[in-house]
Amino acid sequence: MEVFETKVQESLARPVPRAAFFDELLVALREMWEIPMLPEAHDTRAHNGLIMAGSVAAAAAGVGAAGAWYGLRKRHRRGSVA
Amino acid sequence: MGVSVITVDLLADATDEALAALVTEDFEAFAELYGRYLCPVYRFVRSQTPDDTTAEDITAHVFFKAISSAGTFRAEGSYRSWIFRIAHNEIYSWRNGEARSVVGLEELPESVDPTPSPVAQAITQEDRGMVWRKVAELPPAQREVVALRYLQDLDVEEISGITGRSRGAVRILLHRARLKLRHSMEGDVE
Repeated sequence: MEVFETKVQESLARPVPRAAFFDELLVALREMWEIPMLPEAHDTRAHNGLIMAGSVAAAAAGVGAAGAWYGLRKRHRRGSVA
Repeated sequence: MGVSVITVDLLADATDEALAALVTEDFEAFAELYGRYLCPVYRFVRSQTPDDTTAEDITAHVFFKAISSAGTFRAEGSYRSWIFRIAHNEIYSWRNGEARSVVGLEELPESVDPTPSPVAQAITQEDRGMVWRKVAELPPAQREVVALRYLQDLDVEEISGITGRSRGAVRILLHRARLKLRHSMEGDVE
């Protein structure tokens, strides 16, 4: 690798995700994931042997999770949590 | 509900593809993938966007998509290619919406790695800003292949799969980007 390529590589690799924001995002993702684990979704999955029910529920849950995430986004913008 | 069906040690040793197959049944499998890919995906997105906030927004959307469409992942391809393809699509959508093609000068990342490698330590802050701007000045398609090549060490075939461009097109984009970067950076030194 040439010198300029090494510099490009190192420069691009410098940014790190802000831990506070992405920790909260993981919490929002967990909430989103847990929706399809409701009993009826489990039953449907068990009866049909498909993960489709989970996927549909996850897509529906995405509306709520996305809303929660935008709230998180606003909090971080207001507070500028680093 | 929410209890991992396999131990954390096993998750840490599992391949990306094995974890991806478990995501619909075990959130901890997704959490492990999140830990593996948050940094690479964020850095890739950050290299294509003008500021930290936009990069955070797009990265969050990438992981929302990754979890909501986990059932569509097919193990014959790599998980890395799959999630970077999602990132590529999200950046493309954002770019179409914002009609932005050149990253502004205010875009130097705020958060930087606190434990840089020895090579990174040898590069001055001024140098780093200059390199970042040179990459930001590349056309979007060239900037994207440069990031995938140098950040992720991906080969032409994998970049082709992620971007939907032919292998020949990826080679040409990389070649042109390398020429531009070499000329502009060596020109600055002289």
